[in-house]
Amino acid sequence: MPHRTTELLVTAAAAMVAGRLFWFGLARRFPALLAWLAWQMASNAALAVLSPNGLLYFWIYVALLPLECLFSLLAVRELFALVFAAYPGIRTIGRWAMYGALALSVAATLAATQILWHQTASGRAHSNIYYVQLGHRSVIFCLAIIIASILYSISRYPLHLGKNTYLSCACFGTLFLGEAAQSLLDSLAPKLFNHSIDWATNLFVAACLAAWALWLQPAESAVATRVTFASPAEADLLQELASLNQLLSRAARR
Amino acid sequence: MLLPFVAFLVLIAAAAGVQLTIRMRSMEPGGVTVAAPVAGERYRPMLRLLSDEDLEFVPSHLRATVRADRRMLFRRYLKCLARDYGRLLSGVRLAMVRSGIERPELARALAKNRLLFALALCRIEYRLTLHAAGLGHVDVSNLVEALDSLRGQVAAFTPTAAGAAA
Repeated sequence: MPHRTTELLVTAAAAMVAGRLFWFGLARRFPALLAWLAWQMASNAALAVLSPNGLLYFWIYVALLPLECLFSLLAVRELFALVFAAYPGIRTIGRWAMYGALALSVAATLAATQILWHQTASGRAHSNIYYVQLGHRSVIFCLAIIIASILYSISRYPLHLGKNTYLSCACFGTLFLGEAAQSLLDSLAPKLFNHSIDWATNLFVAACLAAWALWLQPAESAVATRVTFASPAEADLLQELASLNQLLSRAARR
Repeated sequence: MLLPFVAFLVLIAAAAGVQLTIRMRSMEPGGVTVAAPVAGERYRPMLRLLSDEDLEFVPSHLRATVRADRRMLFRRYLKCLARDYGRLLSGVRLAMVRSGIERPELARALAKNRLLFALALCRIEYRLTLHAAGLGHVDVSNLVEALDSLRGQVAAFTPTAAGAAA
């Protein structure tokens, strides 16, 4: 039965990542990630034993959607909190990237909803669960864009982020984008679900989690070098940048 | 009637956005480099490159070629200027990364500075295009003052950099 098999595959893959986290002594460092993995295991195991056509499955699914948003949000927050705890000087950059990503993802969600409004009419008529799915999709998509934006904006800085951080960002981003795409395709179906897409997504999620487990590395002891930079040096650098600007502005003015 | 006009405006805005993005990317340092003092002397020839004064001595049939060659050289200098800017940018970023506290003021100043520099690069490119078409000219004679102040700052920066390195 593809439904049960794929749900159990996700459970097993999530258990693998959790096991590797414990094995490498990373569980204490990433409690929210561990909680997210535990939630993945529990929710997929629960959905695996139930029939997708039953009422209980439906209500558990409805209850799980906001919980998934919450656990995902906490896991991503923890990931970047650790990055910015090591590099407090670039917190502002991260915050700006997050605001930009938030604005972009909200605009993209609104645009997609508007464009697909007529195509989703049958789904909306079928059940109000459409709006729950829409909310879930928006949050998950937003998280994926936030991860990509923050990663892009801090990539210009000479940071020494651990490989596990990049791996977590890549896996979270891929998983969230995959789930957002699944939710979007589900919303286009007349009854707001499509078994083939759901099974394919489960396989994709299981593959991502398995790759995450395989590539996870032991905790790194690298500590960011903290050198107190004399503020006059910063002022001089900024003054020089301003001077170069002035130089160009004068050339362009005439 | 309104739709083509709006489409035209959107197209112009998109082209300007792309141009600005390209300029901002050209300022990015290739790797992590330590901020080196900017050699102000390097940009002195820029001041005369597009000046029409020298062209008075050039035969009229050669003027177009000379002007084109000089524009090409001017663009090369601009590229060097952007590279130097990227090095300084790298230095400020390193300072932010190494800072033990959040630096919102530095981030704001840097963002504003980058945007202004990229806009200035765009404006110069636009002027150079007009210059090539024989419309208007890029007068850089008043760069002397800015270059002098730049050199002064470079001199002031050098001992600080040495101190920071120590």
